[in-house]
Amino acid sequence: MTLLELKQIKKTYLQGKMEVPALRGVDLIVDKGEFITIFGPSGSGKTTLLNMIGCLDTPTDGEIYLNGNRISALSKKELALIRRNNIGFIFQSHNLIPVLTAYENVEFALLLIGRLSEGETRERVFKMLAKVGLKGKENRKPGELSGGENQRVAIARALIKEPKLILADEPTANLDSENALDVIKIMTMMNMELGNTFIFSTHDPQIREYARRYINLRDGLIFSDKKKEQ
Amino acid sequence: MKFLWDLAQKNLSRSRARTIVSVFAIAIAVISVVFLRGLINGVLDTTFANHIHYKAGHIRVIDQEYKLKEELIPLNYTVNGFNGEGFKGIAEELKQIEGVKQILPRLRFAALVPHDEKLIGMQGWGVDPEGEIGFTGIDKYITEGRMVQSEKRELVMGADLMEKLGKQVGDKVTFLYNTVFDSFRASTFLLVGKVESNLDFLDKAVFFLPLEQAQTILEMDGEVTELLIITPNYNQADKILPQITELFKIKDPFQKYALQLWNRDYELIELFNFANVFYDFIYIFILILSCFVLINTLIMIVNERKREIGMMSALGLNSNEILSLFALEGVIIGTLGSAIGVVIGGVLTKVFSTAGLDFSAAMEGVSADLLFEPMFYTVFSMENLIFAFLLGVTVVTLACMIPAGMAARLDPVGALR
Repeated sequence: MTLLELKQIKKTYLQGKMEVPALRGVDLIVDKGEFITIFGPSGSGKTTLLNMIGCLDTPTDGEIYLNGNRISALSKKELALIRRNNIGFIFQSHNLIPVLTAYENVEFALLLIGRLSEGETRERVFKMLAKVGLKGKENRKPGELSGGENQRVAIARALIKEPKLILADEPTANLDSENALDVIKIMTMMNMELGNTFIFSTHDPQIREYARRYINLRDGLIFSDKKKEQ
Repeated sequence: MKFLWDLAQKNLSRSRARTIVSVFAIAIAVISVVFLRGLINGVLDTTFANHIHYKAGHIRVIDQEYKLKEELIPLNYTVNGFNGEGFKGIAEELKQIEGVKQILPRLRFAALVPHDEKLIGMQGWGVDPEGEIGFTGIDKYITEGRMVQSEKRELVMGADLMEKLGKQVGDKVTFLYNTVFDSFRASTFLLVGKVESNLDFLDKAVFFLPLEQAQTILEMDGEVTELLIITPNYNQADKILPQITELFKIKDPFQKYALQLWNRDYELIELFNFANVFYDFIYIFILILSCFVLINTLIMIVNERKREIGMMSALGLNSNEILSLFALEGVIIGTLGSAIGVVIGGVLTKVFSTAGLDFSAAMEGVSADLLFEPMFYTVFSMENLIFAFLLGVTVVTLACMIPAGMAARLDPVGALR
């Protein structure tokens, strides 16, 4: 079942007076529950593509549909609402709020939606932190956790609101190999367990192996799009 | 919004030193506003009170010609009734008007006292002693002896004037003057009291004598140079002015008399009232200056937290919410600073409302006629504290919209880069 559809997405940035194309007509269809990696050399347009899909940026040309709704021409406020309710982000650096505890950082994403009672919120956050292996560390602030643990908090924050789509831009780039593997395993587990769609970019071939679909981006175009053979 | 409020509070603990500096910048500005305003109100209240007590009353009745030549203290232009029956006729009519509490007659004249082969100039004030005590409380400034008594040939004199003449309470004083008919005469009175006020004018240049005695020696029976109308509240004196004007329109068709409200027709008082508006701008300016510290702090915070703003934007916070978050941080700093400023400013104002500030040195050379006192006392009032607090919070709130707006306008992609 189609979750996301990109039609001839183009993005051009202006550098001074010069136009620099970052995406040059990307077509992509993503089904619900997919676990996709986007890879390619630096400057190939991975981050730009993720920003378009994540409603953080709007295309210069082309159309994007999420759940059948055209999102490529929405206002900033409407895009923020879509991000809030439908999309989870995991960043290269965890980007946690340093004055909040692990619990509060995860809770923050839920409070934004504001649909749950205090008790339900509490139960869901504790459960999610336990799932990512942080049971007992709920009250620690980012400064008191390791890099890997912080990234797990970031994963929990992205997943807590049960978004349809989770986007991760180089989520393991700042981690050592052991922590990187832990993080990708958690992502895989969540994908299997919760059925969310994951799209992540990576340079690491070892991490890439965990994906079930591989999209190779070169010079702002999809060079190859392969699915893992079962 | 509660979670934004909670987060804003927690964010302030990120750099305690920076937060404390910003809070104290605002606090110092608010202290300045509270104290300055208290001081200016004090100076104005005292000056207005002196102006009312020793010059204008709440409303003053004088002859139109006297108004033009007052500096010369002429005796030819007096208040002597609507039909020449004497000032008491007007006083009785005025007392019938609702809101008139007291009528105070004064007969001012120029006098000279010979001393050490020189003539010392001064002003004699023929007054109703009881009425004067009731209105000005002059008896509180009599540090030796007592106030004059009606119809007795006695006078009280300013302390500096007594010193200049080498006189003491109990001595006799002979002074020279012109009668209303321009006869040059001398009279001798018993000095029964010494006035020591904070006003140079009273201490150096004035002596009081009973009104009847002044009228007798000046040959001005039933006449005074001015009638002061006293109301229960000087700030509401303008409300009874129309009735008094109406009375004078009927009884004084040729407009012999002029009616002067205490805060009109006096240039200095009008200047003070104008200055009050100007001072409000100074208070705002002081707060704006302190806001530069806060704006600088918040801009630094916005720059430091760019990635975090990008992350929040990715989580779904819209620009209004991001603006609110940073504005709340500024408002908390502003509110804390204003609260601290109001408390410290309030304590200082309270202390100096009794201790006073001695400006004697600065007042040297200032004309004694200005009715300024060399000791300035601040006025402690809740209105002042509330004004300074609200002004502080308002100015800070508006000021922190600049950095908060910067945060809200950040492009999430650029912020995350």
